[in-house]
Order: sequence, then C-alpha cells, then structure tokens
Amino acid sequence: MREISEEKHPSILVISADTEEAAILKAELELSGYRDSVMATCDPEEALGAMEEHDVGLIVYHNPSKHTECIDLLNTLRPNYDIPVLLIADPEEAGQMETNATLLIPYAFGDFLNLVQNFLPSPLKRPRDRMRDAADMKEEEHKYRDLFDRASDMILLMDLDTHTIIDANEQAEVGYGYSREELIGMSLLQIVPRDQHISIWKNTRELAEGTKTLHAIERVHTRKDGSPIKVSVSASLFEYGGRRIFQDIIRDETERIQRAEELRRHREQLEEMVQERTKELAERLEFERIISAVSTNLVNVNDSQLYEEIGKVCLKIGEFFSTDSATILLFSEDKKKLIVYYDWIADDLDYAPHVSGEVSGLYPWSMERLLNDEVVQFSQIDELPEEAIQDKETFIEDKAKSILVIPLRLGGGIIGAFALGAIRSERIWNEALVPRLRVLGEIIVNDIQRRRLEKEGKKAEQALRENEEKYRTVVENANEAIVVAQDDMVKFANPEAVRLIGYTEDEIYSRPFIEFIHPDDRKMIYVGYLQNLKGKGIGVVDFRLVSKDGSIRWAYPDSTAITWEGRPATLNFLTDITERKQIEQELRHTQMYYTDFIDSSSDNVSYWKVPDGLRIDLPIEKQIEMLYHSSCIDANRACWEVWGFETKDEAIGKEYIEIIQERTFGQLFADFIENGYSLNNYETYELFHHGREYYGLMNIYGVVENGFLIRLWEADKDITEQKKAEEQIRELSQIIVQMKDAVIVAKGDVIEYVNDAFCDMYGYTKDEIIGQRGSIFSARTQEEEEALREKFSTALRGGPSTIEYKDRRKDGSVFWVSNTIGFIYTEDPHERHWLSVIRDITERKQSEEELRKMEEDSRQLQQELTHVARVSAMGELVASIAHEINQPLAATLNNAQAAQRFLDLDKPDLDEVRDILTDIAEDSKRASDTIQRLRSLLQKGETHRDALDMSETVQEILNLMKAEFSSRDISVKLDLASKLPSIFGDRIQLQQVLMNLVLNSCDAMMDIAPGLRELGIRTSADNSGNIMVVVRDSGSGIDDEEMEHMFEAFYTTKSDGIGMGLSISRSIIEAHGGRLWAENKQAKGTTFYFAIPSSTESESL
Amino acid sequence: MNTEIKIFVIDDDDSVRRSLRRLLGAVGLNVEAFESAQEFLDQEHYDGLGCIILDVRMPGLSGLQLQEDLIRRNYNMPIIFVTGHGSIPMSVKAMKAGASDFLTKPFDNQELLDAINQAIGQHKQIIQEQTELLEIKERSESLTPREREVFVRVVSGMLNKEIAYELDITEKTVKVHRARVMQKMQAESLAELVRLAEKTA
Repeated sequence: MREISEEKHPSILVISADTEEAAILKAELELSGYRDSVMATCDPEEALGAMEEHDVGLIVYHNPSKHTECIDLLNTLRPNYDIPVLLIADPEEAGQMETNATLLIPYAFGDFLNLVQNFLPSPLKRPRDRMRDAADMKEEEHKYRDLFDRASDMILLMDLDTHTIIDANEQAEVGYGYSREELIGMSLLQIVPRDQHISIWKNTRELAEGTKTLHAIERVHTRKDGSPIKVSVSASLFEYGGRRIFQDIIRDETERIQRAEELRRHREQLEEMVQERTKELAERLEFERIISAVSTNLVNVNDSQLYEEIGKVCLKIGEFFSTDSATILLFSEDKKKLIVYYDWIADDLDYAPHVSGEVSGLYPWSMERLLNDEVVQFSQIDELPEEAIQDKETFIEDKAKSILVIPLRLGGGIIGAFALGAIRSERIWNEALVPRLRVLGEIIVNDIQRRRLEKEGKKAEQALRENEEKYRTVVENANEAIVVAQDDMVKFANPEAVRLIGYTEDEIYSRPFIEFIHPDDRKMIYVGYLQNLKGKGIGVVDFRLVSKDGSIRWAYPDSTAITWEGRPATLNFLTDITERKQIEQELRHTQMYYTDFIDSSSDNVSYWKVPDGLRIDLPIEKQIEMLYHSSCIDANRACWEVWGFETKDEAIGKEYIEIIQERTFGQLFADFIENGYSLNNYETYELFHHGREYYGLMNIYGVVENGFLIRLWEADKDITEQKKAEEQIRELSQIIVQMKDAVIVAKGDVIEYVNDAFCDMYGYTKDEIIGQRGSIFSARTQEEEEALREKFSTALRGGPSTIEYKDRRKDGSVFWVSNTIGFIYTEDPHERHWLSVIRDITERKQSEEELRKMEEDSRQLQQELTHVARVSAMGELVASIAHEINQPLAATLNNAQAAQRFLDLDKPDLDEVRDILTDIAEDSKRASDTIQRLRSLLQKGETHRDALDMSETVQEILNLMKAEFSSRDISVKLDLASKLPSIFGDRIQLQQVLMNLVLNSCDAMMDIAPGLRELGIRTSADNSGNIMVVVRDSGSGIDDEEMEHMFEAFYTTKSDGIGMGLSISRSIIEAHGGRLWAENKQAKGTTFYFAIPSSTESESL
Repeated sequence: MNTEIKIFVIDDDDSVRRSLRRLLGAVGLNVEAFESAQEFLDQEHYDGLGCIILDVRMPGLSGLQLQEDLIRRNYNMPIIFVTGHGSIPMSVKAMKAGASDFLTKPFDNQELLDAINQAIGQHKQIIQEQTELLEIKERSESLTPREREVFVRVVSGMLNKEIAYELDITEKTVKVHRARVMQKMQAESLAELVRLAEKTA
C-alpha cells in the first residue's frame, strides 16, 4: 500500500527540447516517488499553460541552448510565479539564465535526485532504513535473512514507489562496489545507466500492475567506479510490513561469460603452448646437439677422416631440416673461385645431379651476393632476379626448386658457403635457420681451413684462435644452459646456466653441484653423472633445481662425457622446462575437470543454471515458467549433439526453451517440482528446435540452496530408437485394424481378436466370433485340416507360412482363402498366440480354374491338330496302305478258295491244304498287323510313352509305306543300327514325324527322273547319348527361303498340304527333349535330322 | 478247259503270287508266275491261248507300263488287272488301253475265273480273227493284178459295164475276172466278198 498524502502536492515541470530526454527525466522522477505529479514537455506554450494551470513546485530545465524561446519565456515569467528552476546543462550553457541550481552534464543521478528533493520533497516517504532490526524478526524471517545474505546472487530490495534501495546483500556490495550503508537509501537508477531508465519505468509499471514477471533480463549496470557490469535481472514483487517491495535478484553475468570465455581461451592457449613449446624445444635441442656433436667430433677426427665426418654432418643437417641436398662450398684464397667441398643428396633422389669441382661460372650472381655477405635464397626459382640468368639456368639443371645459401666467414672475410636445396617440392625457408646454420657451417669451414693451413706448414694460430673464439661465442650466447661438471663440482657454467641454477657464479663454482638439485632428484642425477663420466650415457630425465631463494625450476638435461683440462668431465646442456611443466600441470587439472565431469558418459548429461529467484514456495506454474529459462552451463558431447549443435559453445548459455521447440516440459517440470526436485527414469518426449524428435529416460536433480532452486543436473538415456519402435508397433496395429485382409489373433485354438475386415469377409460380428474356436467357420477337408496343422508347426519353428483352403461364411457360403500364419512371441512361452492374415482368393481361384481349363483346351486342340496332321499325312498314303492291307487279304481269299477246291476233289491233297492254311494264317496276321498299325496311327488320344528302339520304330512305319515307294519309283536305302539304347517316347508321334519326313522327301524327288529317286534312312547313337535319325533324299533341295520358314506353322509349298507337318514334327521332337533340323546336301537333295536323348537322360524329364 | 491255255500271273507280292498259282492250279489252269513285269518280258515268247493277271502297283516296271509295252509289241494276250487299291482314273486308263478286266483285291475266285474265261474267249476270238484275216490276205494275194482291179471295183459297187468301160475291156471279160475273184476269195455272194474286202482294207 502506497502512502498517499491527502493534500495536493505541487508538480514538477520538466522542460527539454529533446523529447527523449524529457521522457527519461519524467520516468526517473516518477520512479523516484514523484509519481503522477511530473509533467514533461518540449513545447514552451505547453510549459506556460502548465505553469498557469498546475501548482508547479519545481522546473527541471534541460539543456536550454536548443530552446532559446523557453529561456526567454522562463526569464520573463519566473519572477511572477517564483518557481525554483533546476538547470541541467552542458558546462558552456550554464550561466545563461538565472537558476536555483545547476547540474553540469554529465551528472550523477544521485546528485540530481538530492537536489530535486531539496527543492520539493517527495510526496512519498523515502525509506532510509534497513528492513528491520534482527531483533524484531520472527523465526521465519531469520531464515529469510540468512538466505538473503548467503545467496550467491546479488539481491536488492527496493521500495516500489520510490525505487529507493532498502536492503542489499553482501553479494550486491561486492558486485556494485558500494557498501551496504551506501546502497541503502540510494535510488536503483543510480546503478542503471540512463538509457535504461525508461525501460525500468515500463517494467515497474507492468510489475506493479501484476501483468508481468521479470526474469533473467539482460542488463548492463554500473559499478561505483563507473565500470559496467553485465547482469541478468529477475524481479518479483511482494508486500512486507505494509509496503510494496520488489526484489531484484541480480546475477553477475560478466563473470560467467568471461569465465567461460577465459576457460575456453585458456585451454586453447595451453594446448597450443604445449604443442609449440614441445616442438620448439625438441627442434632446438636436436640442433644444439648436432652443433655440439659436430664441434666435438671435428676436434677429434684426423685429417683423413675429415671429409667423411663432414659428410655425416651434411647428412644430419639434411635430414634434420628435411632438405634434399646440403652442400659445403669454399672460396679460393683470391675469392675468384667457388669450389664444392662436399655435396650431400638424399639417398632416394638418384635423379638429382651431384655438383662438384669449381662452380664459379655457374652461379656468378650468387657468388657475388655471398662475397658481399648476403644470404642467397628463394622458395620459387622465379624469385631470382633477371640478372641471375646464369644461376637460374644452373639451378634448373640441378633440379633445385628452393635454395638457401648462407655465406660463411672466418676472420673478416667470407671463406665459404653452406647451401641447402629442396628438389622434390618447393619450400619456404625459415629465417630462424640462418644464424644456426651459419654457426654450424662456420665451425665446419674453419676446421677445414685450419687443417689446410697446418698442412701447408703455415702457422694456424690465427685460425685456431678464431675458432676458439667462435666456440666461446656459441657457448656464451647459447639459449641453453651449459654446464661442465668434474669432480662433483661445476667447472664451467655459461650465463644461462648461472641464471637457471639461481646462485651467483662464485657460489656455483664453490659447491658440489648436487646441492643445487632438489633432494628428491639428487640420487638419480648423481648416478647419471657417474655413468656419463664413464661415457655410458643414460636416459634423459627431467629434474628439479632449487634456487637460492627456494624456487624450483625444472631442467631437461643432455649430457655427454668430455675431457676437460685433461681429465674426464661431463658436458651438460640443461633446458629450462619449468614453464612447460607448469602448463602441463594446469592442463591436467583442466582436463580432469572436463573428463571426470561428463564427457565420459554416454548418457546425455547437462548442467543448468536455474533463473534467479526460483524460490521453492513459488506457485508451480511460475516455477515451471522459470525452469524453461534455465540456461545450460555445461553439457557433454552426446548431449549437445542431440540438441543439434555443432560445438559445445553453441549449447552453453542456451535456455531450455531455446533448445526444445515448444513448452512441452510442463508436465515434466510439474512432476519434478512435486517430487521434491528430482526425477528418476522419467520418460520424456522432446522436439528440438532443429527438428529432431527425442525420447529420453530422464534423471533430473535440482540443487536447492536456502529455499531457492539454483542448479539442475540432467542425465538422460536416449531411448528414441526404442520409442520409435513402439510407435511403429502402434502404427502397425493401426494398419491391422484398417487392413483389407482379415486378421485373426488366436490363443491356442480360441480367437482373441479379429479386425473389421474379418467381420466383412466372414459375416460375423466381433462379439459373435471372439472366444469361439477357429473351426466354426472351417469348410476344410480332412486333408486340408492336416495341412493346416502342419503349417502351424512350420510357423512355430520358422517364419510365417501360407496355406490355401476353403472357409465358410456365417451365411453358409463357402469361399477360397489364403491364410498366412505367424507365431506371435510373447513373454510367456507356454502361451501360444497365432496371427492369421486371411485373404479372400475366390476370384484368383476362379481365374486359376479358367486358366487351367484354357490350358486343357489348348492341349486338346494341340492333340487334335497333331491328329489331323497325322490323318492328313496318311491320306496321302491311303493307296499304299490299302494295297498293303489288300495284298494279304487277297492272298488269303485265294488260298481259302483254292483249298475248297482241293477238298472238293475225290482225292484231296491234304498236304497242299495244310500249306494253304499256314499261308492263310500268316497273311491274316500280316493284314491284322497292318490294320493295327494303321489304327494306332489314326487313333486320337493321350500321348503314351514307352521305352522304344528307334530302329524298330522306323522299320515299322516304313513297312506301311513300302507300296508308296514302289508306286513312286523310289528306291530306299536303309542303315538301321541294331541294339540302340532305347529312348523314352511316344511311338505313334515319332512315327508321325518319320512319316512326315519320309513323305516330304518322296515329294521332293517327284520332279526328278524315276531312276534317280533315292531315299536314305539311317539311325545311330552319338557320343552324347542321343539317338539320331537321318532322312535323306536325292531331290533338288530346298531353297533358302523355304529352309527358313519350313518349320513354321501353316507354311507349305504343296497345293494340298495343310502346312502343319514340320511344325508339328518339331514340337513333337522338342517335347521329347530333342531337336529337329534340316540341311541341304552339297550335291543334291535335303537331309533332315532329329536327335532324341536316350532314356537314361530323358527319364528324368 | 484246255491245257493249251496258259495263265501268266505277275505280282511282286510273294504270298499273292503263290495263292493265285494255287487257286488257278486247283481249277486245272496252267499257271506261270512272275515277280516283276521285266521278268515276264524276259521269258520266251508264247503265242498260245491265255491271259495275264497283272498287279498294277509294283516296284520297277508297273502294270500299266507293261500294258503299254505289250501293245507296242502288238502282243494281244488279254490282261486282267488286279490292284490293292484301284482308283477310277487308273482303271479307265487300263481299260482304254484294252485291258480285259480290272479287279480289286481281294476278289472272289469265281470273279477271277469268270474274268479269265472271258479273257480266254476274247483271246480265242482274237486269235480266230487274226487267222481268218491272214487267210483272206493270202487269198487276196493270190489274185492277179487285173483280178484285183476288178475286185476293188466290184466291192465298191460298180456295175460290170462300168468296170468294162473303165478298164477298157469287154463286159464279158469282166464277168470272167469277177467269177475268178469270187472263186479265189472263196466268196459265195457279192455281200460276202464285200465283207472280206473290208477286212483286208
């Protein structure tokens, strides 16, 4: 409840040329307790009107320079009204008008408010006290106080009407840099930059009207020192002690965002550093090792070994820098000649030419550069200038793609060069190489030079001195600490070593070196030292040096045995790896955090920050709404991948509502809250923003502190696959319901379920059929019943199986069905459930029947046709056949009548009669045989297959045709094989074929002279088990066109033929698994062949 | 029946041949059988009374061909064709060529014997006619040229006067020659003389 004074209070008139500024000032004043009594205007007329109509107690005048009219107006009117004026103006504006007070821009809001209050006290009492003394609090309030003070977020309590801070917790003190005393009584607006004042004014309105709750609004506040602080603010309104108070819970997001960013950057940096340092270190160590090895070895080898030794160095350098060639060159004394001393080329580069001897003329340009102490280098050959045309040509000849040549000095002059070449592919030379290579190269050429001088009998002192100088420089300036140890003492330490050890030079040389080493590492190092003295190098181990001030430095040693002043010593290179060690350590910590945290989990694990102010006694709906705005602090890979993010960073900071598509967590959150802020194995459905559907088994735990839910842990198992499968099953069951096929589910014999299609098909209602036995609608025969039982057991053993039979509808009609039976697995193995999918196949059965009939018809037609063809062929033979029958009949008749006459004689010659009777019997048989044969040939009917002898079959039909041959003056040559393997076939059909072929042959010979008509018939067995029949004529042959068509139906060249003979013959032979074909003989005539597999082959047909 | 009569059976079918020989033998006919037409032709010429029983359809020379061949040779023995399956064109051809009969197998023995009788009778008549013609020819050859001139004119119906005028002889002389022609030709009347003249023509 607001305290509203009864009396009418004077108003404040805000005048500004700037609309926006006027609005801000009005908002600020209203927020500060001058609600409903502030007028703001940009218009002088309006301002004048307001002054006349209202009791204006204060004029706040902003930046008048843009508003000269007003200045004049005010200056004129003010004496009449005697209203105090508070001017807010730029420094150069101030003083243009008479005012009661002036604030120079920029001004502090606190100052402004104080001034306003001085001129015109707020109608509302501005609370300046803390909430209440602890003594007055009830127990519940104690709790609240504790909570308030210990909250990890900044909390400010404010008077709604005046925005005066009435309480603040310790976090707020820390966050804003003000003490609590300073904060209390201060206006909230003081910590909020002015550009946000209007929006605060709006928010306050909404909050007061109860239309909106504020949570996690991103704002930038201002600290006492003026620095910005990025926060998220959640505000809620409550009444306390009769006052309307609202509470801002403020989370310093600056830190969170920064921390997250820092952590990430730090991590990256660490990783990068470790990588770089490790690589750099390794390279440097290796190179320095090469240098020391080269220096040592060059001193030790004799002249004859020198060349070989330098070869080794070149090889090492080449391999170390991955170059393809490494060459040492020397200048002649007069510097006019450049001579190759040693040229190394990578072993596997046999195609690159070695350079040798004097090369002055080949690289004139380079030579000049080198003598001028300039490095010659290029990555691409085109980088060479035009004047280097000769050099370019030579390099191309050398197949060099990139070249680096370093001049080498001795004393004042250039005495040689060190060249590295890339031949396989171009490369860019690292500038850092140059000084290192120069040192190395100079060591080598100096040595060569020294030896040469010695050899030439000249004093080499000069060179030697110079070389020593060179070594000294190397050692002194080396980045690595170099220590020579002898007799347990340090005998030499270069400046870097002194720094590393952390004692003065004097101290270092006067104490046993072991004292500088960390006690834990001493033993290891000492043993190593003794080993090294004996020349037995031991493994390199990092160790710690303890400096004079107690700080610890890590060193990486590389030691070799040397001779120092005539006695054994160790030469030690120490690399400072302290930094690296530290980084490693740090990295381990960071990694541990991440690794142990969540990444190892295959479940989706995430960690959430609940919006500030989720007090567990808030209404559930409000809590749910807030929970939607929980933001992700961390999530493992599995999790952010499921959410559809590419990287983890995308996920961090996202709210639930930004990840899931809609507010589908209502029930989940409600249950979560009800269940005391934890859920176990809770099934959820999520539809993510990127469209993925997700089913999870969720475990979610809330971290509740001081009555506030502050964090969420969520760990859920992805059960999408499983859910989808369930979904599919649901869909499938839907399909079953809607299927056109009838579906029956039965347990044992009893029907448990039928679909609508079943009812339609069988005419039963579900009620009638469920619970019945399947036999109720069966029209199955005994055999079908057994077959069905068999199918059931098949379904039980393996997959579904299908059977066709007849069922009966409720109305008694019978129809064909196909039933696909499946066994449904259930958890109880003793309960057998069957699924039958039944289709009405009546129509199909009908068409099958029709088809069968059609086939039958066509088969009969075929047979009839064959028969017709046969009869037709025999028509041609009718004269011959009649002859063949009448002949024996005639003989019989003659004989019989002759016998009668003999018997009529007085003395009958009975012997003669007996002979006659024998002849009669023979002739009768002959006639009956012929008739029998004829009859069978003329018979209609089914084919009948027997084992046949092809020769006999041929002979038989030829007997019938004998008269034909004689009447046509055709001589027949037979070559019938005896003891042929039998074939399995239809005698009549085969004889029909033979008759056809023979008659064709006879016809083919009718236009040639009778004496030349010769028919040849041969039977034989070939190697592949076929019986072959050949019918050959001596006719005029068949022309090509006829040959092509003669096996086609209805093709004929005869005026009275039906054109079916050969076509039918071919189908008969093919039905016997054989083949029929024809050839024109080279000389004359045509030959027909057919071959049929012998019975061993065809039995299987 | 006369044993001078000979029946020739030509049939390629052994059984048929044997049965015919047997049947004809039983009725007392003298039978000679041949397997082929050629075999028949190769035998010694027989000019006695008889007939040929010939199968139409045979390998080599067929029955009809043999008939043609015999006609060409002016061999007048009658032929009875027998066939297992006779077609009308075939029998017409055979009969036109002078076949005595055309029997279709099987045939009754009486049928055959009747055909044989008929053929024999036919053959007898042929032989008689040929004999008579031969005598008439001999008689006409015995005429003198003047008698022949008178004979030709008498049978053509000319009167004695006309003949005398045409031959520039006396009527009486014509009468003499006429009487001698009548005598030599053994004609008892003018009508018979005309008949004989027709036969020799």
